[in-house]
Amino acid sequence: MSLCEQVSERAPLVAAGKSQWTAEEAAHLAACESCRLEWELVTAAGRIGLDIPAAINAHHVTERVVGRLRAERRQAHQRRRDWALVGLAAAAALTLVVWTGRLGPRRGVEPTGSVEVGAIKIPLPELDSLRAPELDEVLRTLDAPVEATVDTNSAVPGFGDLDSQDLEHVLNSLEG
Amino acid sequence: MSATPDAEAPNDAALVAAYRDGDERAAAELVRRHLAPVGRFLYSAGAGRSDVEDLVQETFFRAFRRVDGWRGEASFRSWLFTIASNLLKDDYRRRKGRQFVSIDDRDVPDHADPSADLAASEAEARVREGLSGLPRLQREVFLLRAQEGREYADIAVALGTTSGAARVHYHHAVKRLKELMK
Repeated sequence: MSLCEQVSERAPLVAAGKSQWTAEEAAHLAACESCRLEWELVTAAGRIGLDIPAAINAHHVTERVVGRLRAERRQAHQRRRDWALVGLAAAAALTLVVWTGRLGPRRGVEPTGSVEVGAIKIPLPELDSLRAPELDEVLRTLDAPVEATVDTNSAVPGFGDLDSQDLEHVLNSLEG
Repeated sequence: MSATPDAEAPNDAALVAAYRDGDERAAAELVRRHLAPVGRFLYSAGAGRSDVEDLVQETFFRAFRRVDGWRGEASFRSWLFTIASNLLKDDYRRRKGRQFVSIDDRDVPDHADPSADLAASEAEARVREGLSGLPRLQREVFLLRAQEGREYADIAVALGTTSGAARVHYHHAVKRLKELMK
């Protein structure tokens, strides 16, 4: 590296106070016009804006920076809380929908357990003439398991006593 | 202002860690510590005198907002220069390529020796004018080297380039500015 290159590389470090010229470099600087011009350039650049820090209100800048950061943190916290509330509301709504969906089929059932016969559409016209207690009795019999409807000690024959032809007749009569 | 804090004072990394833990005083200390060089860099790179304070504030605000992005590969100050440089670039684009400010916009400091100050002031004005005509990277590499005495490796990290490229940018800038100084 030539002395000119060496001076060029070290000039910013010397200008910034991080290093000092050696005697050889100082002598070269006095003799070399190009290096002297570069040194003047670097030192002039080092002086640019030296008065700027004094023109900046450090306290004001600090207050504004910290204030903006605080406001942003507050907003972020608020956003997180809002989203949490939205999530809770959605979960509550979903729970409600699921809960009411499970209750849905029971809506027609009276709390007393009585049957509103007039409201029920019965697909068997033969049953239309029955009064409520009779219809209730017939339906209870039909709903019950086959074993429960068959009194094995009774003389009344059950479905199991019928042959296929009789059974078909009985079923045809029930279907109308 | 010295880049290195007092021996007893917490270093930048400790202050950043304290800020991450919610200590606002740590942020205030970091602003106090680095405000002057950041302000000088912004002004020297072309920001108007009246804009510098707002730009400094924005630089620090962006730095703290994205403080998790600083992982200590470069010094905290270099990272601030990165943000300041990006801020200038954004501002330059927003102004559609117009320079921030003419050299005449600056106030001449009022000192005791008017003739010496005038000569120095003229030299600074010419350098600043020359800087405004340089490509952005050449200008910023030159400023970080000439004003801060930073190593090329550090400048490379701050400006997102390589050490070798930073050296080339510096010497190109010097060559062009020397032409103006003659």
